[in-house]
Amino acid sequence: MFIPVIGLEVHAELLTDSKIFCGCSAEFGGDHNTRCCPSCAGFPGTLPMLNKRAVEYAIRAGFTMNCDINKLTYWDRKNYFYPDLPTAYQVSQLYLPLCVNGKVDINVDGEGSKQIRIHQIHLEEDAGKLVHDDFNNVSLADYNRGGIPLIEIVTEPDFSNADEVKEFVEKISLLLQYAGVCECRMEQGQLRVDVNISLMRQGDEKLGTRAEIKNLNSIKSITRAIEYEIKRQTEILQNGEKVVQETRRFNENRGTTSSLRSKVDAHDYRYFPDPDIPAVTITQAELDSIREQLPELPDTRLERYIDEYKLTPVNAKILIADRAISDFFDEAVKSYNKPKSISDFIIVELLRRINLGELDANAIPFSAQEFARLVQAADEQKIAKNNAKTTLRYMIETGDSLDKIAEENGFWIKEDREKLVSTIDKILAENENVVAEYLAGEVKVFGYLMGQCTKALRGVCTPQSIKKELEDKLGKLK
Amino acid sequence: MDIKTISNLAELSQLDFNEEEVEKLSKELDTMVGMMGKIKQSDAKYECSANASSVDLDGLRADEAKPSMPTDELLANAQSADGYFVVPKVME
Amino acid sequence: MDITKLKLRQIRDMLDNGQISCKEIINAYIERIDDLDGDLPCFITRTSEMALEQASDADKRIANGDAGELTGIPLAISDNICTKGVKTTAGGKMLEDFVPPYDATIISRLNEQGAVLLGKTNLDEMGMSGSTKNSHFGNTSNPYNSADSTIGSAAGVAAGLFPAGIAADAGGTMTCPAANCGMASIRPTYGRVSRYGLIANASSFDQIGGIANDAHDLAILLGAIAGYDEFDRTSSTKATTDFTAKIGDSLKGMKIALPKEFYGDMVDDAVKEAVLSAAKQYEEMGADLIEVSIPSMEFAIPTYYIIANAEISSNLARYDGIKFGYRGEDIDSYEQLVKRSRTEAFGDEAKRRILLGNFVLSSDSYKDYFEKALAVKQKMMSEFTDVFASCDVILTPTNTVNSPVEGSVASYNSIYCAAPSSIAMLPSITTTCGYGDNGMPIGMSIIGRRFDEATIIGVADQFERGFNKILPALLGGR
Repeated sequence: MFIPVIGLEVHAELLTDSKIFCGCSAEFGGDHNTRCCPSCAGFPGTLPMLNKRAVEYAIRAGFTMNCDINKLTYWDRKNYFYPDLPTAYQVSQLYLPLCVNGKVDINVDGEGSKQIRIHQIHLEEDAGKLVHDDFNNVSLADYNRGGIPLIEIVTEPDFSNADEVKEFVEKISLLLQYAGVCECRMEQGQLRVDVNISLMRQGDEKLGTRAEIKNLNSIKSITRAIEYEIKRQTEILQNGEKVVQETRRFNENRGTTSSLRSKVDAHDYRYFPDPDIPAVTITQAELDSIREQLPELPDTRLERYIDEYKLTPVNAKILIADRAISDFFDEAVKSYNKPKSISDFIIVELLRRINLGELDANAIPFSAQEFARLVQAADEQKIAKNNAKTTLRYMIETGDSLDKIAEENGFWIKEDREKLVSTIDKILAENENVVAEYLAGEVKVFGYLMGQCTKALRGVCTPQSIKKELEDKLGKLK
Repeated sequence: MDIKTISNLAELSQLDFNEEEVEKLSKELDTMVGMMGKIKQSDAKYECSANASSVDLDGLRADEAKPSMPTDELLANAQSADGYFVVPKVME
Repeated sequence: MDITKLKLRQIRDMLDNGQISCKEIINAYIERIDDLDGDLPCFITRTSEMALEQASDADKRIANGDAGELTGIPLAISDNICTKGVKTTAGGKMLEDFVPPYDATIISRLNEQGAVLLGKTNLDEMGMSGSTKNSHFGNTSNPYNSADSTIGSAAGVAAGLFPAGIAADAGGTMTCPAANCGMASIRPTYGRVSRYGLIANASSFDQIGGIANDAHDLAILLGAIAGYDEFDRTSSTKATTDFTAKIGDSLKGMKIALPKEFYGDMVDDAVKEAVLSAAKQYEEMGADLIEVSIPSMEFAIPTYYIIANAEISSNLARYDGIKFGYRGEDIDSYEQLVKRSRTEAFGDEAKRRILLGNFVLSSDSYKDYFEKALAVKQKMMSEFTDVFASCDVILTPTNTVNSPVEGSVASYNSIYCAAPSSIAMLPSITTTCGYGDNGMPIGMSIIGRRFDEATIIGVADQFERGFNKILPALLGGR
């Protein structure tokens, strides 16, 4: 019986304005080699200037994963040759990284809660990109991405299956988004996962030989790769052979992994402290300040939504899945304290439109307060439910205000007093028997009368108005 | 220093040497390593927290994007095509 | 009056007094260089045309009363300091055609001042030693002894080709040849002068300094280039002072330490004699001589080379023929390009250092060699701090011998006296204090506390006033 032992190295691109060691823009995209300077292109004589925000963001990430932050930290050179690395060394952290000894709790269906230990989180630089031109037999180097600040999250080998890994990657994506340090869009390469996987014979104390699978860029790839790799290694071991320690790549089309390097991967990176980058000291006050800037994290919000707001766990999970939505929800509830109403309207209507691509959760064209007003109006029947949905659609499409849309489209339920009085009179007249029963003491029949009036007066005025008027009239008849 | 060690170092250094050169190097490097090896006699202990210079978080560069170097200037000393640095095909 | 025998500050006076125009001065130097440089030669690249334009600008500024300390002063710069638009070779084939797209910070500062650049001077490949034996551009001879290989910035000042030269020092690569040429030179405190734009050799030791006829000139030169640079984060934010402030101060009561390790059998008798006689002069000026010990000197040489070679191996890894520099031909693959470019373009010494550097950083050797060297560096710094607790300055020889150094072992050992100020990050000033049997100049070094250049300049200057420097015939009496 073989037990999979899996550890991860996750790289996340930080949301800074400039690169880690120079002032070139860290914005995504741009024509190749237009976001470079002598420094990030590795020209002779250039030197690194460490980005303060990159360090702060790395510390934030550490806090979200319950790490200890080293108050003295420094950077090391990892030396190797590759055309996407202009200086032939990557500045990383080996000896004294920023964050150590963290933990992240995950919840796997059917397994319950599990704690994944974080070995360290360190701050390093990204390499450039290579485009392969097979026709001309050359590779083309673009250094725009070179120098983008990355954090590398290294876990202990605490995972035993693909589901746990999936949960973890989704969890830390959420944490990093909440911390505002990374958008974690795997398809854009903002989050990249390397998997280290080996099999251990049940009862053994020694870990098996591990293979590394690099650059998996979707959750699906990760789970497929792990499942394939477990199968592959199991077969090898069952045949009495040895697993080779190597780096492998995942083949999307075939769902298999294949060896990336033919020789045994014992590349000596000759790490040594980078003499161009002074060590950084961080005070407790600075750490406290950074921690204070962190927003309420997803787990805490989840608890609050369930315990305080009495939302269902399912709905609460949906809301916290995107920080922008959760923030929006909290803001809206501050305006109109009906969490259930607001959450329903967000989940059923707003999120639906977001998922359709009509708008971006990070760029909602109206305020949470405005949204809360809409929900309240619908609740109080100042707008009919269907019209409220339509109003939302128009708000998204046109960017116009709630008031403007409701006015222009006649959605406001105008309190037509005349019609109210005359309609009730009419219904009371048509239901003399029921009225008589009511006056005789049958309070129950009020509901029937109420129903008749509401049906007749739908869209004309609010149920509250109807009720009041009906009660008044019946009261006068007594 | 044996051939294998020199060969590994040459690989790490991305330098090629022929047989004759390796033999010559073997002697030269042996002498140098021997002299550098004298340091093993020191009982000094490295304290990573006692580094001469460190800077506070505040002393780091503010995160502001500045204009980059125009692409043609960047590529002026290189072999380029279409705004890219040209590299012969990577084998691995 | 032979203009080219003038000191920097004499030229300044004459320019400011309107006694002579900058154009005249520059023409005089150009003529002298045309006449004599061929026999040395000091220059890799002459920039006479640009120099005359700069001279013209300087004359205008001086006429407007807008001159700074270095306005119109002719200088030569070592060719490992990047000058925008002007070829910068670092003395090697690898960068033989490299034209930097940017200026080193000190060049920007000199340009702001309106200094005049006569050309880029010869140095050993990548600035690795204090001779030009390994320069791709041939040997530069000491104008007083053609058998002595030296650097262009030193030979040029000695031969009167320019009143001051700028070069980088690492373990004596500038101070040692300057001393052998009978010139004064200053290696500032590590961090005093920006390294941005200095093609990196040994990052922990590299520091740009100056060579001139005497300490007072050096003070003026240093004032123009010193100071914090945001592009070099190893540069110090400590405010620059007036480096001439202590010139003329009495040395009465000054405590001059003589560490016994500098006066033992690592140093030739003739050299020791010359320095000790200078010490006696200081005593007669009222200074107290104090014998001290710096036990780590036992490991000074291996400490220097281990760290230097390690850093060199990493700093030189960026030279692969892709972004800049020599590019091998008939290449089938990236791997072949890198190897061929480096193998064909680097000299033997550079290759040896790269191999040795990779050796000490290899995982098997790191702890015993590199980490140990870092430990000795820390210990040495602390020993120097202890000495400075009871002394003001330290007096040592500059070179260990007074004759040209032959062979790798002798070269290796020759840095014994110069290495410590690099290792301990301290400022040192060198000036002639005596002569060897053949009349060749012998230099002494005065080492100061960190950032205390003013004191060591004052101490050197006091000696120079009373010392009648008699140098051998220039270029064999031409």
